[in-house]
Amino acid sequence: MQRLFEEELEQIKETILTMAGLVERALSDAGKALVERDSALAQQVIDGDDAIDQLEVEIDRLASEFIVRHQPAASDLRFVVVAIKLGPELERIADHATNIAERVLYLNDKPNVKPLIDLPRMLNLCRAMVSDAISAYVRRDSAKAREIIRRDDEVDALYVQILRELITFMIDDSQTISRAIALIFVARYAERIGDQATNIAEEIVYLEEGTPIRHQPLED
Amino acid sequence: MSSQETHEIATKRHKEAQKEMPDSTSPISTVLASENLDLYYGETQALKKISLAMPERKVTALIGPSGCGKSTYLRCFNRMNDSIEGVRLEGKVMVEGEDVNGREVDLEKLRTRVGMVFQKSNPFPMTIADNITYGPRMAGVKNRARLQEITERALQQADLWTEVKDRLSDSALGLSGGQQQRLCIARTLANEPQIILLDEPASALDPISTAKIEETLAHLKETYTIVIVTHNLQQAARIADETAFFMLGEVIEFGDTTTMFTNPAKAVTEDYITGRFG
Repeated sequence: MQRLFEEELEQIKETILTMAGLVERALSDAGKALVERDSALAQQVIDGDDAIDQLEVEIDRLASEFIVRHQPAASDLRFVVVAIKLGPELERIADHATNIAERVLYLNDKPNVKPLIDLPRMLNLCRAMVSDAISAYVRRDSAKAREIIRRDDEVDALYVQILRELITFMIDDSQTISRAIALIFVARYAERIGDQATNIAEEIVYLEEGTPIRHQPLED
Repeated sequence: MSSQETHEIATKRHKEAQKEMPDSTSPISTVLASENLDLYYGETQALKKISLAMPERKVTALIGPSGCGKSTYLRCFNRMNDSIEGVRLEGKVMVEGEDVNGREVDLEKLRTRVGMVFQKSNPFPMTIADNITYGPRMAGVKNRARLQEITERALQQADLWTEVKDRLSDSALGLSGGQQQRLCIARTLANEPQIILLDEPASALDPISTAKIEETLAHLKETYTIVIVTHNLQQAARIADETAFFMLGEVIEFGDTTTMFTNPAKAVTEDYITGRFG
């Protein structure tokens, strides 16, 4: 029974990692499609979303079956609870990557509003947050997870900066408004991804330390 | 009778009345406790320096691998270990602040205050009603109306009344296993105890009977202090407010049940409740 128990836990974990791998890839491709104005790549991100959605459903199924079969307690219980919560977070990140890709398709046949500097930087920061959150999950490293949570402030600051800059473009030239709004949306999606990476990191702290830290100011 | 004596009797009655109808707003206090309790079966030490304080009108579960001492510990509170040859005890076992091993303790009264329900239901081979009134009759209650009242109240508290009210004169041995166990709980309640000790009361029952027993306990804890030994960890998680984890005669961890089952303090508790040993 114990072997089956461990195997099933491992299967849940592997499914989360497979999903996380696809999400990271979607995020990185969406950023690349934006910078390199690559519509084919953007379309690839959009087309890949279904597979990610299916994995979310699969994680739910595996986790429910595990609860029914084993009635887990303590760290095993937290592991399954966290798995059920990571699925939707990852799925939402993939949705945002898809949304970014859709804006990229809109922008690609129009001239640039401005050279993109802060936005790719912001997307990179978010991608790194997601990727580090997943590696903190694999390494069971709650210190690393806490560090990721702190990085969200930087993402939020960039968002405000991008917004302010694009507003000035729109004021100067009303022809840029629709393209600038598309870029603002991209920035907004990235900002949400930062929040979702933060949620994942908070779940990892809960998983490893046993106390929830959501909705609490982070101590220094 | 002097006014002093009258006052003393009045105070005593008042205290007894308070015990019968506990004030739900009163702060939680300790009803059962042990201090540095060591227990030996001959040369073998079964309990080692156990100090616990169990709160009033809560369910406390004792969990742990077989042979860890949890039943032995439970039986200390109504001195059920007395009859076992070679048992030696050091330290204190307290029921409402009173040392149960004290010289002045009346064992019969202690066992009335501290009722016990066992793993295997043990109804007496008599009618359902006679099972319930056995204790009160032994204690001298003769009034038929009073005995009927006790029977109905005890059966209702044990959630058995509606199932048996039309066949109180039938033999208790005709009841199902789960009903027999609830009858034993009712029989304990008929003696108006303050504390109920249960030693794996549902381990031989089917899931529906188990659920009924658990539901009964959930009601009873509003009035009584309950301590239950169980091997069923999910049962402990479901019904207990506090849980004590025993291993090799020691208490490894004691505290809030939810915390213990979601985030135990000790690695060995974690290993036990996640089924990695035991």
